[in-house]
Amino acid sequence: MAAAETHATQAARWLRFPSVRTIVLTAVAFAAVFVIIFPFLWIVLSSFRDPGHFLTLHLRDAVPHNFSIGTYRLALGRTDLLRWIGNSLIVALSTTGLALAVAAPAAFALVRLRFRARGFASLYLVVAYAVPSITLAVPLFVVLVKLHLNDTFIGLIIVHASFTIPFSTWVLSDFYRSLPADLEEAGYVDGASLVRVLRHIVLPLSIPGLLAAGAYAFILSWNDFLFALVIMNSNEHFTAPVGIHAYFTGQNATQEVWASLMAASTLVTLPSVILFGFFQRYMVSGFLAGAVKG
Amino acid sequence: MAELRLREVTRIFRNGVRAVDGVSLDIADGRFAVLVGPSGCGKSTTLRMVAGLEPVNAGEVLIGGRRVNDDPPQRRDVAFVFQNYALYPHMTVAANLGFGLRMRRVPRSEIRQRVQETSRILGLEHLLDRYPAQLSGGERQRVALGRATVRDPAVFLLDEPLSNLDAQLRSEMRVELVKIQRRLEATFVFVTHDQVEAMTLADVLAVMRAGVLQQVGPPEEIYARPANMFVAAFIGSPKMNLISGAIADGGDGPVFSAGSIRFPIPSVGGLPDTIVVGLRPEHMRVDPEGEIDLRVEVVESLGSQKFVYGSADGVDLGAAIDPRIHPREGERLRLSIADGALHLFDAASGARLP
Repeated sequence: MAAAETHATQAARWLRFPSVRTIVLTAVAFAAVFVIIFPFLWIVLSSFRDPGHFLTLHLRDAVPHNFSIGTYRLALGRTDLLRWIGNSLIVALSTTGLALAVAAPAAFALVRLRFRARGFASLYLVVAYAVPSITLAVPLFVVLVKLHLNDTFIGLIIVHASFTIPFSTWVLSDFYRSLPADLEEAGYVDGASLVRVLRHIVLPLSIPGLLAAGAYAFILSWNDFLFALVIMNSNEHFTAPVGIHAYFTGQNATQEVWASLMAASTLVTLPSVILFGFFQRYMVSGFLAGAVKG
Repeated sequence: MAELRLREVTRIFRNGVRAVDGVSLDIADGRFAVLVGPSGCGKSTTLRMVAGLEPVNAGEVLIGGRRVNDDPPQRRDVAFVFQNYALYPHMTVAANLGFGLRMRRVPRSEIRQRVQETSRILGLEHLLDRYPAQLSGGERQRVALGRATVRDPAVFLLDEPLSNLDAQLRSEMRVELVKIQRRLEATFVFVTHDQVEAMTLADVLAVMRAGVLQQVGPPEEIYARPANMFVAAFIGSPKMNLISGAIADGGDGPVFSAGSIRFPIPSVGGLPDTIVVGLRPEHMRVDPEGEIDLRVEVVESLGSQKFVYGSADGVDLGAAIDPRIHPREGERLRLSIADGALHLFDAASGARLP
């Protein structure tokens, strides 16, 4: 009894007076989050200001007094934003599909099957990341011109696939390593061929991994500015980041241009944010409970 | 149903370790064979080679007289029960049970009928719509067994299937397993590191150590005549006492001596100078005239049985005694050895002497 009371009082004291360590760590965490989130927060808040008084920068105006969606009307009215977002969707969805279609079997093979050059292939996936993408932009552009694929969706999708495939393979390899091999072995013993084990056992169990890798691939493609800028040069093929950039740099930065920039940026960031929130729920743990032991 | 034969089966891992080294084993149709040995002895690897989950580097695996070395698991007609059950987490119990039949393109109506029958026998009828995550450990175990039995395979392979169950459930499942095996009249190969499990389940017991088969035979025979010191110490609980000592000529036959312990041993031709005498704890009894003087250090009482452990002039010994005798720790106890209870081993090679 006495011991229990002591514990209770200790807990109460701890709750009332958190240790210095806790306070410091919490403060650092909040500061870090603030630094990361501030620009985005600023963009979102600004996008709801009145476009007529956009550049009056008083601190008291940081939070808009009366919410206005005028900026969004401007952004959608004056630019081809919807078309650019559509283009981005075409490119990002195709890239994601292509990346998963290639990465899922590749990752499975790297983790489970034994073949020549397996070690080299694994290593190459990582080494490919050591090359800064900026050095690839021009060579890739030259290749695409030779193939007559510059300024086409297919060209950009291929280029995006060139970095989303290794990345997704890497994410999925980790996922497959966490899948118990016993399940596949049970499938073989139950009479299933490799193809049927893949279809009936591995694929259904891969859904969380595919969602995670797919979300990553989508966001990488959606957020790409560099390659899209180099490869696309007609307005009707611009992806959202390139379109916004072209609109903004193409004219004097008036109040309205700034305002529509904030609105457009908010709209374009939204899918990434939603996807991140969504895919967090599909973490590997938990899903496999009950397969083994438990 | 089929017989299983292993001929000089060898598995060498990529790091050069000979996990299984020239194992030969004949298991007749319908027998319950148990592979037993300490962890890392190659028993699971042997089982996986039979299933086709592990390549065979040398030797032959024959199921029903057919060489299956190069057949993938799906063409071997074996069932495998995994230690962790390996139930498909995204399928219901019914789908788990029926998966093997589905993969073998058995008609849907027959699948349903066989799943029903199996689940009735194993008491799983009320669980058919559940997912593995919603089952208890014992229920998962039954589903894993059901998945094996529903298909009527040539050979059943079970890799430590009881080790994740608690003690009570384990002994229940032990009995149930034997019942299932008898009813199916199927060939079972069961792997375990638990010698009690091995002794109680096996028709044929195979003891392995470091990839090498040590002894094969009925459990009683292995208990009565262990082929070497390893088997002697591994089979039997509590462990057999192994006492190393010297041989002297005692006039009317050889006499074994270790410290102050001296007793005559049966004369066998060509005894080495130093031998190890094996003596099971249950083959000693309290006797004021006994040749062993034990200083008791630990007393273990199990109700129906009582074990004492201690030392006799520097030699550590354990003995099973009459549970009605109540020796105290520190007390001295005289013990005699039952007739014909001694096992003699070559101290150098560990092999059984006569």
